[in-house]
Amino acid sequence: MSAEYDIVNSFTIPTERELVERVGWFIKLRWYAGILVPVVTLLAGYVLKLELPVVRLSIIGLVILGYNALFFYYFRRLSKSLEERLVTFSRFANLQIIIDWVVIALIMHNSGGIQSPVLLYFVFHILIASILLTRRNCYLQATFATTLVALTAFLEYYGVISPVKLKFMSDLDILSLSSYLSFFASTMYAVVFLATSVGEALKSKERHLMNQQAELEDTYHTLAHDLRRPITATQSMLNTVIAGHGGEISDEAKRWVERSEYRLRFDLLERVNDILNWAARRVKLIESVITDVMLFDVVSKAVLNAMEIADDKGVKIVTDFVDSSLTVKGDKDDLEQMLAELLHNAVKYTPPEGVVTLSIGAIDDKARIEVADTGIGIPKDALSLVFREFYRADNAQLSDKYGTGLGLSIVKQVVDSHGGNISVYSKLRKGTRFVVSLPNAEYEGLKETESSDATFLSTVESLSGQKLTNCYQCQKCAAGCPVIYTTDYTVNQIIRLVQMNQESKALQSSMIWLCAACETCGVRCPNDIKMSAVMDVLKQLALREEKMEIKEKQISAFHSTFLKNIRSNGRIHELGMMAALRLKIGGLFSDLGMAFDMIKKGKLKILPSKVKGIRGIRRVFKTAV
Amino acid sequence: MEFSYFPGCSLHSSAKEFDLSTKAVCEQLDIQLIELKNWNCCGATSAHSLSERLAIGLAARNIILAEKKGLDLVMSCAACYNRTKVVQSSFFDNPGLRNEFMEIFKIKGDDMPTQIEAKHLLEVFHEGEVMEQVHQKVKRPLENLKAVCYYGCLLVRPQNITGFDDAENPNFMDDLMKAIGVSVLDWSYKVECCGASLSLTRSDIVDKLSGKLLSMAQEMGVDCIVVACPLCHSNLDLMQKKIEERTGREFNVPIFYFTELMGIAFDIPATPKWLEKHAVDGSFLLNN
Repeated sequence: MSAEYDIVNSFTIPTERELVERVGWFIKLRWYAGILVPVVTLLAGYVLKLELPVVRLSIIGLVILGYNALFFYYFRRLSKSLEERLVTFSRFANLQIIIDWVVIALIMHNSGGIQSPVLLYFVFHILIASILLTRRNCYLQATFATTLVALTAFLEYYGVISPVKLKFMSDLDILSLSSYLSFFASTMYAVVFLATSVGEALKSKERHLMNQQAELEDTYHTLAHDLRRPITATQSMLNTVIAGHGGEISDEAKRWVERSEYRLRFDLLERVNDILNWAARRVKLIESVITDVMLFDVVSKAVLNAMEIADDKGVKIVTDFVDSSLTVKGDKDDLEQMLAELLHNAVKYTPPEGVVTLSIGAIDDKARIEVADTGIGIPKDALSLVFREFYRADNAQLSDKYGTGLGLSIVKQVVDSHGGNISVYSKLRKGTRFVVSLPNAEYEGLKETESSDATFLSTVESLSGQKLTNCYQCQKCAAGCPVIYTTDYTVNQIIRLVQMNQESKALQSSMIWLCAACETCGVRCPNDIKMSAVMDVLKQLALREEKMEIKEKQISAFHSTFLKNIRSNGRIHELGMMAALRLKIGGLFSDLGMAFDMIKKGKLKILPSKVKGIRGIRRVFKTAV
Repeated sequence: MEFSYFPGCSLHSSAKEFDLSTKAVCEQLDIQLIELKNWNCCGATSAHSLSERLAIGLAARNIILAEKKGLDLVMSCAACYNRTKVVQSSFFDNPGLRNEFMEIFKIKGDDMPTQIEAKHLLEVFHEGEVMEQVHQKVKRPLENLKAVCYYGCLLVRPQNITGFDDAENPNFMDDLMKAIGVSVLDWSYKVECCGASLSLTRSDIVDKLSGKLLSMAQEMGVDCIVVACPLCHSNLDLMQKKIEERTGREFNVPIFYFTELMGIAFDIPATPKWLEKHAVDGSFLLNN
């Protein structure tokens, strides 16, 4: 395996990723170094009365600032490019170290030669290099530093270059010079040896850990599949028998089969699912995706699922939503599971004709979810234990034999990971009430708004000429939107964001770019809001605001390429436009076959045709942008 | 009948067959099309996406040129039609705009221009007299052809601006196709979106949206889809093979411009030259 391959390959290890960032620190520190060199020189002159060559050292300071500016721009470009490779970074780091050392050698020479305390500064670089670069590179660098220092020292010693001698320094003879040099060299090599061994050990451990995690993931998925498959297969076979497809069976036999099927479903399958889910969370196999989640969406699915069991059992589920647009920040699947567990639990421990109530509302900055039942209740001494893994209260075990005692611990995990709170109130044989409070996303948003741009709504309204305040969220627009399945926000949610001055959320959404301008929403809006015009304004604002990240970059690239093409000829030259676009967003050869075919059929012109009066058209471009 | 004709960029290139068939059919119906000299691109979706002023300016130039000519302006391309209608309505709301752009373009002319109407070719054909002409010109009624008409977005929306037929259930194209003998089936996807220009940047969306149209047409057992927009044609015809590759479904549904079917029914000899430009083979129409 070549050294380069090794570097690229190990780029994914966290320590190294972090170290790439630290290449940036080098640059930051160097700004200070450039300023400190002349400042310290002056201070040393005034305070310590040392006679240092101020002019020369100040010029060195300026040189440092100069090349650091170049590094700074190069580093910014490197960090912006999508596929930033470690090889490039290691070359960049090598170059920085070499130039820095030449400069340090110059400073050393101008501040007393090998006796200058600046000599110690060589160690910084070799330490960082030992962790960042390959071992071979480090030894080469250490050799370079030693040679550089030795060269300076000997040139000074033999009078080829005149040394600057400070008052506290003694004259060196060849023996003390050699001992200085050998100590320096051995320090450098020892640092390389120690730091690279520690670094290598660390890297291999990390790699090992990551492999283990990947293996664990594999094992988990195989295990999950292997455990569930035989159960569901058996279940479906039993169902075939129950349905009488395998020939007639006696009622007695049927009852037994039904009971086995029930045990499989509620005892085994549910337990297996609980355990698998719990295990996945414990080893962090389930990664949360944090978005704005409307609680209403989450709730409806969980309620529908719980109703299936509740109906069978004769338990009623009542829902009470104060605000259906209540939004929290979190992972949709996690929240869904949390609600499902709470509802399932409530239904399970509530006798027939009981009631489970789910209510959702907002109190101050919190969204509040409450699941209350009229069930068996939890004994007082068990209340503090219910969130423990595998814990089941005595009365729970009596009431329902099946269960793992994991459901509520999963609930607790989810609530904790969302920065929320859960509390439980209960009275034996009367019922239990779980209250979950989660940070309210809109409230968070409002807080942001107070300090940011509260005029966003009026800007968008006046630029688009659309009265967004009229929107009352009937969602007709969203219902007719053809691209809604792939956007981050729906049309009505974009309106809501604008209404609430949520500038950065609206401008950084993918919806504004994916909108195909089909105008279906505009035609169906009861308030006559032309959302296509609003989307256009949002796109334009997003492009204007530098700090906004453009989602769907290739679409904005398409529009600007299209317009550039009009600007040059007055008409679209399809071939030229497509080639320019492909160069910009990639896939140059993906349409090649189709393009040839079209040229053959006379559907693509090779050369553009220019409109007479193109100047006037270009003047419009000028006044428009 | 005389009109100024604004073909637009697509009709000079990827939708050449739409341009050729438009001209040939109009000739048969004694409609004289005089191509607007030095027309420019209407700006399409990209212009209004990135700059309202640019979008108005680009379409304004064509309108001003047409007004100078003094004839009503007819277009076959749904996007050109839409942009022209939108900007005409901006002129109506803000009369100063027109003079402002005349100055920028250095076009001399009256402050009070001739009022011209911008029309889509379907609107021209659907008018009483022309419709009668159509009936008379049919030599080979397409009686065995089962088809659905697909209008897309830009003809019918925004309805208060284009005023084209009906926003949710347009029938102009259906009527016209019935007039030349086609068995037109009703379907609910007349004004759905095909994914438009996303085909170059998010082809997955076009796969889904155009794929939906194609599979519905296939399920209905029609012989073809009839369209009136070059971009719809491109997504449904030119891209059909790619959609098939990416979705793993086979459609093989030919897509015709309404003018092409009229050309066949009128027995215009140049017809094969148009159909050979399609990606999905539609030559079966020429055989019987």
